[in-house]
Amino acid sequence: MHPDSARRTPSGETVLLAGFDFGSTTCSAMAAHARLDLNCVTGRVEFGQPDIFYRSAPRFTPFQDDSRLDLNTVSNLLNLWLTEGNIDPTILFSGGAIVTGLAAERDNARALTELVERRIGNMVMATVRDPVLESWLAFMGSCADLVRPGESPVLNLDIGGGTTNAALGVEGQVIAAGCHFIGARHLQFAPDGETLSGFSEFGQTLLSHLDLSHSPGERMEPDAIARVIAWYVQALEAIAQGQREIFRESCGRMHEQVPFTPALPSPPRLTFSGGVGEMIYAALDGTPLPPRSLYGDLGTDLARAIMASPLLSRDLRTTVPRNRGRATVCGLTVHGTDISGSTVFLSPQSRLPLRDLPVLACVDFETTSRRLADVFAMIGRHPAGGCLRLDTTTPPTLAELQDFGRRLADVFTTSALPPELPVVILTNRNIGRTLGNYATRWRTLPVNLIVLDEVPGRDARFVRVGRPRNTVLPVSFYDMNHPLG
Amino acid sequence: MTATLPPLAEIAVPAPRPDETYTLRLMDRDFTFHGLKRLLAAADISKTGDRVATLTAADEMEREAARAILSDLTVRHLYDRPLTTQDGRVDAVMRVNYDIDYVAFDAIADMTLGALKDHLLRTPTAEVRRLGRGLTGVMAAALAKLMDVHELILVARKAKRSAKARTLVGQTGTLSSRLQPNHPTDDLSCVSALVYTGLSMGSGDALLGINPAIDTIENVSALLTHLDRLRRETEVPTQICVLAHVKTQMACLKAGAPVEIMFQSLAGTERTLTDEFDVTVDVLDDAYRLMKEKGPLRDVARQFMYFETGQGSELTYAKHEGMDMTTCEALCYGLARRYDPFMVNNVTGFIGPETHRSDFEMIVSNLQDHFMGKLMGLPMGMAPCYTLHSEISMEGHQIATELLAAAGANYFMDVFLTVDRMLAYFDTSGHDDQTLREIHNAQPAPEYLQWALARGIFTQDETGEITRGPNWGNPRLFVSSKEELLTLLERVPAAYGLDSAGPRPSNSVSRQVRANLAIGRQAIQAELDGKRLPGLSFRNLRTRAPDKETHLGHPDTGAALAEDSTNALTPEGMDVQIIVSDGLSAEAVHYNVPDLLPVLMDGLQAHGLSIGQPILLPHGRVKVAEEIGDRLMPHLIISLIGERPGGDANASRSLSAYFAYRLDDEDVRQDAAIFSGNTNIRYEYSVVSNIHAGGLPPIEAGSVIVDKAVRILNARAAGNRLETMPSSPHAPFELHDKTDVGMTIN
Repeated sequence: MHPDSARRTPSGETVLLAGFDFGSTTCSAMAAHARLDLNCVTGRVEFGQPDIFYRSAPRFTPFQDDSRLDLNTVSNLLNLWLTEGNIDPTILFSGGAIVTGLAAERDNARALTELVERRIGNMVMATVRDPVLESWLAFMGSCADLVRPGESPVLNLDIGGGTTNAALGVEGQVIAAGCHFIGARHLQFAPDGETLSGFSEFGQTLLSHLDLSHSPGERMEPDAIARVIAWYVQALEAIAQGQREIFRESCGRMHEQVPFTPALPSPPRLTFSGGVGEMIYAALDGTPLPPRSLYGDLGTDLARAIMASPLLSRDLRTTVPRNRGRATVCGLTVHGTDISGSTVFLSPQSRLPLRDLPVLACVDFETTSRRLADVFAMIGRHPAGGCLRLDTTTPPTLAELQDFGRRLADVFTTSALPPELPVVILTNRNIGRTLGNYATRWRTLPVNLIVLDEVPGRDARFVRVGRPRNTVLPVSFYDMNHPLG
Repeated sequence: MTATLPPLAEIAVPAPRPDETYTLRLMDRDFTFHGLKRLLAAADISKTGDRVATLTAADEMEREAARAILSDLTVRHLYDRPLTTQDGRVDAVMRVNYDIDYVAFDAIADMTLGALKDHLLRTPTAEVRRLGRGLTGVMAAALAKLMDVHELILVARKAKRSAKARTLVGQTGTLSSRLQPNHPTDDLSCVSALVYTGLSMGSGDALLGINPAIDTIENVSALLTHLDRLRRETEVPTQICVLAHVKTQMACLKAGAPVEIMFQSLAGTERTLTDEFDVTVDVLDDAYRLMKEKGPLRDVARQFMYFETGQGSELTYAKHEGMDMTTCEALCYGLARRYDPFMVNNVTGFIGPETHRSDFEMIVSNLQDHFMGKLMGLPMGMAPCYTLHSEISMEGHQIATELLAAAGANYFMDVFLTVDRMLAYFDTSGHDDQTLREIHNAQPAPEYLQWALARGIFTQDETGEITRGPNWGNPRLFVSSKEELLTLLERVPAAYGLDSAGPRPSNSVSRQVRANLAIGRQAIQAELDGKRLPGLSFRNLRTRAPDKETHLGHPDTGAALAEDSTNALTPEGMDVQIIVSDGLSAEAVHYNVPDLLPVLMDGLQAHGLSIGQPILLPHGRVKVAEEIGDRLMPHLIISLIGERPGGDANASRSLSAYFAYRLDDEDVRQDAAIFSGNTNIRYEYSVVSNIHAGGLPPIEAGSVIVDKAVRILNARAAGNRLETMPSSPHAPFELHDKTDVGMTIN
């Protein structure tokens, strides 16, 4: 039974989701419809089974030169995708655009995200150089179904042209993530598949580290390529085992963008996604690996070497992820947005959406008035307002919630924040309306407070809050520039 | 197609006669019964609903006296005395019952009922089936009251009837099932999971049928389309149905939705049928004709109508016209017979303890219903069922199914693990159905059996014996991956596992099911205890239900105040009056009110609203709010009351907040009357439900209730009238509460 067969839920409301991924080698778009429905098991409004109705053909990421992306071509691509997918940006519930890998290293990568935001609109979260988010998205896009409660952890290695994004997931959540500059396109080859046509700074460093002196235009012997691949496999095996020795010496250190340092009590199941992952699983399904000359990079060599590694290949046939090559864009489309609980608190003066809101502090129900005053002072210095996280392992008692709400009200009164300045509290508990009421003395304080509840904890620096639909609001996190967990 | 639908006016019915008096001396006691209705009622076993209506015999001797008199009456005597409405009319349901086979009737008309009973026991199967067509519902009911358990089973077994849509249901040696994948919000993933699970257990050969949570053309069409897709993709030979109102289904069919089987609930009196079910014989005739002309199975099926009935609905609406529950039920069958249905399903036990309190009442009633329906020529399936606030047990339910299987019931329900997730009642499961097939040496419908054999759900050995196959109970069979199945199962409430032990759920699964039932029962039986509401100050009042048993068995007593409590109340004119009552779960109050009420009081006071001292009211129902409102005269009454527990343990502690807005301003009341169509309306209701730790937590519910109360008072409206009003631009931002949907008043 195809999962799409369950796509038309009769109750609830259909929303439009979209994602745009610009990677080292290719870029792509995806769009889905999903219903916002009350899950009677969890008691939450959730996305129903998404109906991914548009998957663009992968395109080579347009580079203008070694340092810049070709934004004109990107703009044309966006138009093409919107037309092909019949995607109306004005009705988007949420969406995301991410620039990853070597594309993110280009000088104008940030301009690309701004272009996307201008073209698609406020509902899109666009980010660049967000490696932990990339790892998280790739995992959720490929492995979310594999880590239900009671099942063993999964470590997904999303291997693209520029980076390997590692993410360890258990019980539906990513608990650790890392990012390494291990990918197919650090060495690039001419159409003959043997002549080196270019390399990244990481590729160049690795060649030096291996005492290989090849320059663009020179033929690389099979042995030389094999040594490069062997180093990559050794590094991947180290990541898979949570070991860091290889990344302590200079070459390894350079390749380690975000260390992957999870506690691995037992070997997790290993999966692969990204372009290299796609090749691996296609080969297992009987599709021959393409020649190196097809893409002019090391993707085929990496795939073959991973399949030959007893450690890396041990779960290839037993734990198979979804989406594979489209994991990041799928994660971005379907999992890139969390939705709030359905009893949130919004002040009368609250205006949505809110974008680029900094997450400035984590608090709990014991947080003192003095600490809260400091946090409010920080918020006051940000013209966009600010956000605090209130995550607890157990629900508060009534007395705890009342006391905390009253302290917030006192601090609102003394801090004299501008009445229109957004103060957003994100909490994982179902307490939004009541906390907001006590914190504003039942809406009598002239403050712009938003309390969004039942939002899972994400270790991010920025958050975006969309417009409400069907009792809930979309919340996107980005700038996860530090390890989870 | 055999239904001819003669016009009602052309069905001959004898003119009503004045009631006669029937007398008998038994030993040294004289017994007198005035009128046939009284005689029929007294001849039945004692059932709660009939007792409430003061229809039952006072004791066993009176019952046997009634049966003795009944035994000596001829069939013609009953024919000549149609039972009439309270104002002396022969209603449409009774008239349809007189559309009988007169050749069969003439053969038995001059037999006494006692002689006819003996004849049915003696005569071969074909003769039983032939004679049944000559009986009205009243005659069948009279016979049922003369039969003992063995006789009810034996004669029904002879009268077994089959019907044919895609599958042939009801052949001798078969036991079919209707797969009932209900969900509280019609979640299609849950529906898929339950259909796959049921099919893997060999269920659903009679029907894949959903009771929709939302009865709209759009929603019902979407459910039909989804069921149709599942049927096509699994290639299962069966038929689909969404059990919406017949008018909704007709609209769906006209719009192109795959209404393969047309459903409607029936009642045994015209007033119940029209006033409460919004159906007339003419509407049913239209539905039949539409199906005959446009139904997707019109070229395949011999039958395509599906009716559901159950003892007690006429009585609970006080529209039984003085007839007992069994007689009313038999009249439903006379109406159903007009349409030569594919399925008639009996759900006696569904209503609750106000009609059937005990295992005995439920079991015998089910056997009577099955007997009457089969005798009258219907393809009866049975859904003996119960709610947790009755005294009916799972054991009693299982005994009923065993007896009904012995009697040759065409089919049972398949409600996964016996818990209906939408209707909060308990019915047969796929495990039960397979167990019954194995005990009674029965098989599914032949077309379905072939399909199931091909998929390893069943297997056939060299001797021809059909047994469970390697894929029995494995819904993975129908999905592409384990992950897909798990994704679907995540949307299924009260799913405790797929492990089986033979045809039964494994012990660990059964223990979870039973533990949740026990928690639900305990929540209902627990007494409201003010000591478990520390720090809260109440005034204590009483309803007319002096104890839990009365409260559960007589809902009206909980809807009225005891006299001393009534006298204690004088007008206070507050903005809001709060009532805390147990309803059907005192535990819901104990676990939620201590956190909820302080928030609610804080919020109402912060909005400057005056609040009467909260009332603690054991054994209360929602409707008591009106009497309290009439006495205290607040603008708004908020009733915090325990919900009826279902199969989920958390839900057993689920509280609702009912808002009764008192329409004390005549202009506002007129608006409400125009909106509702009820010229006598005095209160409008809204509700916030599902308040418990696993749903809307009580701390958060307090604020939600405050916001709703403020909105009601500002708008001077509640219920649907409130929801159709635009929000004030100055009102606090408020997301619509999903919990407003689907209000019912217990």
